[in-house]
Amino acid sequence: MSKIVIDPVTRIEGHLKIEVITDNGVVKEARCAGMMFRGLEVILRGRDPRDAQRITQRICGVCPTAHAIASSLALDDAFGIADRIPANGRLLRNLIFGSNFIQSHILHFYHLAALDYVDVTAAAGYTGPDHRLRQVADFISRGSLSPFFPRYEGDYRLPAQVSRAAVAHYVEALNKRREAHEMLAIFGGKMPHNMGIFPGGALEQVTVDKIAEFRWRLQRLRDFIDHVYIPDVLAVAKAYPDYFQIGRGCGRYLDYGGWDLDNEPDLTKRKRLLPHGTLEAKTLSYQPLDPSRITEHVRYSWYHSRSNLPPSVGETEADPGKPTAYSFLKAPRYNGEVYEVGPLARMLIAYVTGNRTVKELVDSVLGELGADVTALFSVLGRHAARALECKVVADAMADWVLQLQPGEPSCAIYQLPESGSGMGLTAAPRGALGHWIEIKDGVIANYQAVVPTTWNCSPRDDNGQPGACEQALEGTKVKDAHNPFELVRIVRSFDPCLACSIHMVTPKGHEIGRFRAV
Amino acid sequence: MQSRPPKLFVGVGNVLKRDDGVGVRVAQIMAGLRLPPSVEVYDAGTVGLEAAAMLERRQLVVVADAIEAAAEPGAIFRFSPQQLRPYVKTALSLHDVHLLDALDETRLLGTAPAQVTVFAVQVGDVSTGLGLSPAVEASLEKVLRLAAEALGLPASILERGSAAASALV
Repeated sequence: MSKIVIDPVTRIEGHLKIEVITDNGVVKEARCAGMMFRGLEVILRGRDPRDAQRITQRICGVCPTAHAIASSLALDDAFGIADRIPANGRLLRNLIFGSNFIQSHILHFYHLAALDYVDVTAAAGYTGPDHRLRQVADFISRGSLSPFFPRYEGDYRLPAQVSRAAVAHYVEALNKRREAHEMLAIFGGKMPHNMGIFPGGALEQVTVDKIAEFRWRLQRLRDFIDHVYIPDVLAVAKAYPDYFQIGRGCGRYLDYGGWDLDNEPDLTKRKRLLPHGTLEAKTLSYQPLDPSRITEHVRYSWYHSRSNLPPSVGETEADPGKPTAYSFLKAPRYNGEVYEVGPLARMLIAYVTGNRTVKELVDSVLGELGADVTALFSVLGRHAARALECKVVADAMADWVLQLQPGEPSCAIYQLPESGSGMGLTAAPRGALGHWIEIKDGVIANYQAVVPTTWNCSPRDDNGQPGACEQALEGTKVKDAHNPFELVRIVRSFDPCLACSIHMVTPKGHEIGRFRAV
Repeated sequence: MQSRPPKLFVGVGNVLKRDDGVGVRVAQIMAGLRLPPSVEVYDAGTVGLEAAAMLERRQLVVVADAIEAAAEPGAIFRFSPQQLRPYVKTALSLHDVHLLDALDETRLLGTAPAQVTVFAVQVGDVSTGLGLSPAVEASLEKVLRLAAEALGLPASILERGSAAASALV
């Protein structure tokens, strides 16, 4: 038996820590731990309810827009105005959120995931005509290897030529990301922590110029998704077919659905681009979502609050000395069972419920790879689903932007209630995101957020069942305990979202004293 | 793309973790000053790589951030990103990246800002909550003065700013 710890030493505190015990090179037991307490309700209690939309975005610099959506949906619900959002407001929310969403997927693949499979050093010494590759070659030749190194050394299987093309696309992805950023700012004001999404709709006025500015950028991003991102994911998939078997996980999938298409006040009946629900991998059986079945367990979490509570009445009393605990994440469960969330869950649910666009895309990809739908329950399945979802959302945005009506209002006018409660459920880049709010005497009495990574990277629950990522790690063969690239590939396929709490410089081993200014 | 101001002031940090948000606080105060058109202020919050788009092709970037350097709370450090290198890292998620990674990215693209200066304030209290601890709050004036100087702004700009600053508290 031996122990492997993957504990990223970064300047950021509050990260994800993975510990596995192996026996003869096979993972017997895996533990995912979130190392930072994040007591959001401590801050929100007693404040104006509208502050929630601003403050919850500060949870995270990578997916703030999803928090803006979830908190605005919860507030629409609590204020009783969910059926009064103007069409422009609904569309602008979808467009602002979509801009952040597609850039997040592209960035995740090129900046993190692809580097596990593509050997960047293939670009070293390049002297050909491609200016992107020359940029990378120059960069490497100057001896500056971050952001590519240090890395876990993988088994790089792509032919040098394919690797070089992927490196060129990495550079292109960075430029595309800038365009997505500008696109978001047209209606969202700024990124991160946008100002555009608000209870009642959105705060930006629609004009013809803004529509035009948005459209050309979106078109360029769609071209990139269709002609670069999806083909690159397929190229990786063809070279690494074993990763259709590795990291399969718990076999249960859940999503809340996302991108409102109408103003039905009941979120579970609202028409959305992607539907909510749960799916069993074994039987491919689908059930619609019943939010009352969501509870959070804390037996293995550093809390002494009561366990198995629904998030709407959730409690967060930290207990860092708790002996059985190993994570600051709670363990959300649906019907008491472990569920995986994320693009794979959404694509599977849409596929099984007969979404034609999704079905055609998934079938064509499976056809090209010579695989059936069960191959998707895997590391590569998660990457493929992320790429396809990126296309589905970007294509829908092209329709939404044309439905905007210049000069029409974007936000409902409303009075704040003295009391009320609300639930905001949305698809987020990393999976199902839920916010719950309770208002009393005109201020926030309780606020709970259950973020996607709490589902995926949860610790064991009250019944001892490991979380989704823990289950995906268990049973994996690790060739070299000092270089556990297999495990890193599994964890990254979930696109985890944790280390947002503290962002300060921690100059370990540096003589920082000589830089004193005052 | 329209041309952008050549100088950028960036405030980094998480305002939900008290002193960790000191950089954002400085940026908020800066944004309330009457700045010349050559200076843009960016509240980067907890942003990661996306900051790259804002940094590219600037003549000068001045950053305000929080630091854990085992000094007394409110102590101010000044350095360039190169002086902080190398730091070991293995990113498991997009959330493990930060402004320094965004800078690397601009170097890769050949669009790095010409000069970057970081002012970092030693934190005292980084527990969950809004607002700065007294020692860090007391350092704000000095940080602002240093940052204004680094940006080539006259000291007089802060006199009006103090009023704006207290209005934000």
